[in-house]
Amino acid sequence: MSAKEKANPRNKGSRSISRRGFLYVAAAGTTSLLLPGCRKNEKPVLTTLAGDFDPLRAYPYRGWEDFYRKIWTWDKVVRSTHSANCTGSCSWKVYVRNGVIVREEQAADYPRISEDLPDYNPRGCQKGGCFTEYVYSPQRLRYPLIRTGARGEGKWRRASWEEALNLIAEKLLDNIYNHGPDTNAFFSVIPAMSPVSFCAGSRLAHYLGGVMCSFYDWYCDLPPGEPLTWGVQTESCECADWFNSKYIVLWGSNISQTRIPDAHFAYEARYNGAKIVAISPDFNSSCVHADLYWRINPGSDAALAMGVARLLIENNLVDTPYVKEQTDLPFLVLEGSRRFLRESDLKKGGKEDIFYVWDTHAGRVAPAPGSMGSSEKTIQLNGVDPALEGTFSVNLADGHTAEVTPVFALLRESLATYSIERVAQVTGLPAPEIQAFARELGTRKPAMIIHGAGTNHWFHNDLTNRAMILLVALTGNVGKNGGGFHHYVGQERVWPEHGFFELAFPEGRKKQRFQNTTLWSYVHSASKDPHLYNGKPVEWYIQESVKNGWMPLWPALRPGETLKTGRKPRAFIIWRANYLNQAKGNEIIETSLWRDLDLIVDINYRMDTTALYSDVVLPASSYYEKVDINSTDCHSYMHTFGKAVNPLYESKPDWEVFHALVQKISEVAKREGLKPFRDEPFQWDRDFTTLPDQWTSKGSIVTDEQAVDFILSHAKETQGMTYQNLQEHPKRFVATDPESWNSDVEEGVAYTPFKHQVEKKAPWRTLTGRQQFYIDHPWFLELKEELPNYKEPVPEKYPLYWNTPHGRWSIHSTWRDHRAMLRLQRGGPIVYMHPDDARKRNLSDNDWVRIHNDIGHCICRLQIMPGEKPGRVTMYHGWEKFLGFQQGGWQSLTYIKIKPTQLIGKYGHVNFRLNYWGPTGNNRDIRVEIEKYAGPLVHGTPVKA
Amino acid sequence: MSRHQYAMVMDLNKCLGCQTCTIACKKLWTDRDGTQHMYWNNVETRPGLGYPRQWDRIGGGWKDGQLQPSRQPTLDDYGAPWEFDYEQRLFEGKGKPVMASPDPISGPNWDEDVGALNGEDNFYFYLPRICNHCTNPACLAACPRQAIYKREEDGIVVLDQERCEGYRYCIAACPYKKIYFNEITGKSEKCIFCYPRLEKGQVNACAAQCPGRLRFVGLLDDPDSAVHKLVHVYKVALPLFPEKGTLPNVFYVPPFNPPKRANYGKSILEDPRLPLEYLLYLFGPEVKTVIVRLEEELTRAQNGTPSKLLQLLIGRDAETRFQVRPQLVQIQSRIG
Amino acid sequence: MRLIFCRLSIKSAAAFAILLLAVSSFAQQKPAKTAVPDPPGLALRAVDSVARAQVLLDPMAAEWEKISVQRIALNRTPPLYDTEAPSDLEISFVLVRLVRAEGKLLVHMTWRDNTQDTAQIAKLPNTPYEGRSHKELTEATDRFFDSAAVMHPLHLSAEGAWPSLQMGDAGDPVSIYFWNSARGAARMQAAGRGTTKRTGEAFPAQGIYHGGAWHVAMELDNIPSGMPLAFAVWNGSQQDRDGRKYFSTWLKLE
Repeated sequence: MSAKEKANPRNKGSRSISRRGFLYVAAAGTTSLLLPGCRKNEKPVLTTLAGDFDPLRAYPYRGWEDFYRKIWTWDKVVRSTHSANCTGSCSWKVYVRNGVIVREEQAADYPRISEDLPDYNPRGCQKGGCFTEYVYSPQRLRYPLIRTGARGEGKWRRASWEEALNLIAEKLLDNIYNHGPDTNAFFSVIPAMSPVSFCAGSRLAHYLGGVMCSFYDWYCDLPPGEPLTWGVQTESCECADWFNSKYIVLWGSNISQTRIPDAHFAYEARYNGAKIVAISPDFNSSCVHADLYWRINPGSDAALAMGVARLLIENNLVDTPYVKEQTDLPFLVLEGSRRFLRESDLKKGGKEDIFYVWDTHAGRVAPAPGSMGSSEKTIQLNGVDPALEGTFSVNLADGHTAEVTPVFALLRESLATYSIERVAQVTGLPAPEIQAFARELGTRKPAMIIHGAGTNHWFHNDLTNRAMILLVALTGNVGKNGGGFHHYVGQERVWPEHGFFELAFPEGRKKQRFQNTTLWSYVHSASKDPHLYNGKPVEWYIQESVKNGWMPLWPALRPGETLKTGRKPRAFIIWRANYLNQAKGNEIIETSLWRDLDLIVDINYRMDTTALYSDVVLPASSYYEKVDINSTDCHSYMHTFGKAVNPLYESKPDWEVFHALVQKISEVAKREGLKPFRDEPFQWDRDFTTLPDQWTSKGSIVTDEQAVDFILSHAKETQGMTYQNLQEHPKRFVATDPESWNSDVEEGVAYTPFKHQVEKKAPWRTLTGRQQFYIDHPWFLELKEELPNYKEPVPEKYPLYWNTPHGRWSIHSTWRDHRAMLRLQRGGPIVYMHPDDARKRNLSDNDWVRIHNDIGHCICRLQIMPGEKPGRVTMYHGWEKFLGFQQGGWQSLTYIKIKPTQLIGKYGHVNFRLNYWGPTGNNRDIRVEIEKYAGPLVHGTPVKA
Repeated sequence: MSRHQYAMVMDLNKCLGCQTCTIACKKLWTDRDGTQHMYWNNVETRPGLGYPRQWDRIGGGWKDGQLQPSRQPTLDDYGAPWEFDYEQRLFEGKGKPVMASPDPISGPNWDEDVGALNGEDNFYFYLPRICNHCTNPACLAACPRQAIYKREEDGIVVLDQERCEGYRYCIAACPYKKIYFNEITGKSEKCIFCYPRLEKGQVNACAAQCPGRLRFVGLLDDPDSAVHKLVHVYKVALPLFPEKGTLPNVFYVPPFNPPKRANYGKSILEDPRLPLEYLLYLFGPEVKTVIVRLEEELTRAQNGTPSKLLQLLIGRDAETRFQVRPQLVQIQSRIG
Repeated sequence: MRLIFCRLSIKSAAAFAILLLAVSSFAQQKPAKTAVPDPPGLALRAVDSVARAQVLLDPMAAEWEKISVQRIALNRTPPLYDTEAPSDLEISFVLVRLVRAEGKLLVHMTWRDNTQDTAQIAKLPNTPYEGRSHKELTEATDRFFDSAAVMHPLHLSAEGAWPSLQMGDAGDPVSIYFWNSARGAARMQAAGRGTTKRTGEAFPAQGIYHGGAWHVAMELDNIPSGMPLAFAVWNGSQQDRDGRKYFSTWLKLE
């Protein structure tokens, strides 16, 4: 008998109840006559007392059911999506009833790639599922506002568009003519999530000569190991390809929380035969579904990777033919200088970007085809068998003989320090499991690492990236479906890249001032990293980098100016971003950079922290009141934003906001009779009286829909697509532009990068034309980072790591203030702590605590979290500074720390490029202490209708 | 017995704990006046407090054919829905941080990701819950007004919003505490298994919108349905607290956690992270057989032999997971 | 099929239990806290008044003090379900005053209740909830409110017998004036237990909690003499609702 049958009450139950029922009937029959005031001779009848129907069968009153049926009705459905940098890029249907947006539901109509692959539907999370609440929320910006109190105080007066735009236009022009166009800075993030909105402002920056600030590096979402190793920004497979894997390593990526629409591919891959390894200091929501969980010590990931690399090599688990062809590991390095052997070493006048391997067949050096200086556009070895081991002598052009060694041998030697005992000790992991992992990584193919911000936000993120990439390169997994290293933090890449750039910077990117925001924020604020790097402060490296032209710095230093004495930015225009809330060390910025700015404009649909601390706030339309497109690395489709309702209140879509501003600027320029401004570096006479003509490309791109169609028609990826036909259905990209991409979009196959290199033998986009693990830039050599290796986190004096990962309840700061989301958390910011750490500090769950270090402090509530790692505390990031903290915010404890090696440039493939290469705004190494807070508390006030 | 019975299977090994189902349901059905504290669909971390707090210990259900007593959950057991004073801070210059009101002391997801045991031994999983649309519903039996009924065509248990007088006997009787009181209307409300959607051939919002794709919906009596196969053919889906005697029509594929530290490769029954006793508590004695079966299938798949069962659980598309049959369950002549 | 039968049995069992225990509380509960129970069939007297009905709707109006008070014994329904614990007889009687004025029957009820179980409950807003940020909130899920009711048969039957006290009978419906301290007044009809339905009409009624007692004035239709009335009181703190309440027997209006 099964448990279900045993528990079935039908048999037992009915027997006992019917017996009891019978007794009562009998008793009633004898006593009813005695009832006072009751119908005489009344015989209770079952049907009278219990009703004449049985609700387990037929029910007579079903008309009421329409009550709920009416709730699920609508007059109109419009396709739209969200622009929050979640990397989700999910297509939604927005339902409208009586002119009001009532709810949204995933459109769930992404076309299937192939029968074997699970489809992408439904795509969207709980946050997308309640965006409608924002549309009508109290935080919604309804009218232009001009500050009347101090910045951040929240005192405003309602202004007309006319007045607000006039104020901005006059200020921007004044700055250009009196202080230089590079004092006007523009900040907007992630074009992929709404390129038309991005371009609306970037086009203005472009024609004003303003500075366009980066975001992907600043937010530390850029994995610097990818530009260093692969010469790309970030190249990841679309998430359907996870299903093709047989070994998935979740490393610093909590997919259950941060890849909600995609996580199913991993868990379904498990059912399809993959094993899942989850590496994380805390037992997070993805670890629960793993086959192997590793509770790694924070910041020790590179040590683990190096240890595993050593085991792969020791146990002959290296894919040697792949390594010889696809990596720089066979390239020869000169003893002494530790630089690559170059053609210039062997021949007078030889090139700096031609490199050599040792051909074991011929017993001599052979130039490696496909490097930057090579005339061959292939990496095919053509019969050369490069040595991976050994030391060889070569005759140099200067007549000397030098010893050369392949990178592989140097790597193997460097791995000597990563004994299994040491690695187990540093990482806190069991040695036998590390060995088992190495064995499986080398044999279960294809294998992939899914990588995220958990590991990427450390100071030594580049080293960690490179060490991890090494593992999948040694095992021959990169460039193959189901294999590789895939980083998903931020929706950084626009699929129709060519069309986007044409729209964003119409006169060409060479005519645009770009700025790495990490550097800009550090230099223009009172930020000060107290650490020394090889005995020198970071300012020395910055000065060198700027002087060498490796990194731009705006406003440009004029002769005789130093970092300290140079001009400061004066106006800051922010749209689609929450700069101040998300800035490392935002309290330092608030009291320095922020004070030097005399105009801060925020264009937004909600009052976020940056808007609150601005001078002029312009109301933008929400995601359901505008036209745009959206794409992501996570899938291979284009889809649209749409106007479910016309822009609400006095809001305008970003495109129209900037169009109106452009018109206002030309009006002011005409009014004040401004002559064209001569912008010397670009030899550009900027005539602002004709700005609308420039901004609209002579009237050819006036509406947002025209802008969408411009992008789509100017990119290979989106041929045949129009805004109108995308409103009907998301469409898969039809091709890839080889200028931008490293694989083709293939029918029936999930996209994964680097097939051009692995299958077609195209050179990698690096100096060596290979996956480059050896960087012989002088700073790398000086700081001993020419090869991937493990370095300890930057020392800080406080005991607890301050971990601020991406979580499920917000996309950065968006949804952090959203009531429906807050109600499913604890109503405000909380910090997680291991019970032992809490006990030591006499802290209890839900206590108010003060988190502090030398930078600052914040006061919030504590949650005891048994899965947290002792010695670390976690607050999921993005909390708005104005909500839930008694004092301070999550960024009150952080500061900007620039890693010197990330300031280099002019090294082959390593050059400054906006959001591709530049110092990252890391923050994982920060440490804090926590104590009980017993001071006065502010409580919420009840809200009434 | 109803002529047909819609059922749902939730594969807990695919659940992300993302609460998209919770929001899908809330924004469709309970975003009205008086319903803010209700989550007809909730997801709770197990082991844990649950929603409403300690619902599995409050009471209700059947024992030996008798309804069991229960106290009424309080608003704090559900979690008072917080309001936030945005305007004073953002627009009125009052300068006070925006704070929740009332002061947070409990909530529907209060102990998210907490689970049990510390550090290396920590374990938990997510348990999404809706009304079980029981075959022997305790709520229905408890209602003196007969305002709760089981739709004869599809077995969905609904609560008549016209007849209900808000007595709340049903809330006490339900061992899963899946009926909620709306004080503004004075009536109780519950999950309706999205009958308006099913009637039009659309699957339930919680299932349709689940990005973890862990929900399977169909008629339990339809041999072609995934739910039928998972419950009756593969026998890997179990009801929650079968001993409560209500015969739920929502079933769960029981969860795994990874092995404990240094136990990689050990079987689920050998010193598991997620103790078998806890699964037995939730799913009854059959869970042991089921969990061993699932582990065998998974091991086989990971060794290279595809498992038919796991291929079904992959649920590659909506057609595989959902078999909504509006034509089949259409009631011919509706009464009343 | 067996299952269905089982369910019905529970219903009937509970219903019969009420009947039986109601009887026993009258006939056998000798030392109950009630004073000597009124004999069955006690008559009620309604006094004519020249006062305005509007004035009399104030339960504290001086006019009411002029009206002779009738003390009506209350009985406590037994637990309706096995799942419920019995509860004490905290309210043993209700003082009733009846007045005919302006063609209406005004009923004044006063009963002692140590706990004032009422609340201000937000009204369902007139504006649709879609697009409205603030939704009215349920402030408690486990509270029940003090209430009172007057019931009379809808028709006086020819044979002179009165309907069941349990909300009338299938062929002999009753009309109920139900006042809830939090939700206001509503008229209902019933033809047997479990059949109570709101008519959708309200009626004038006011209640005041003062000095540890409820004072409620209700304006009923001009119920003719000869019609029996029954009174009921619900005590929120005792989780009273439905048939869980205090009730009187039928009392003939003279």
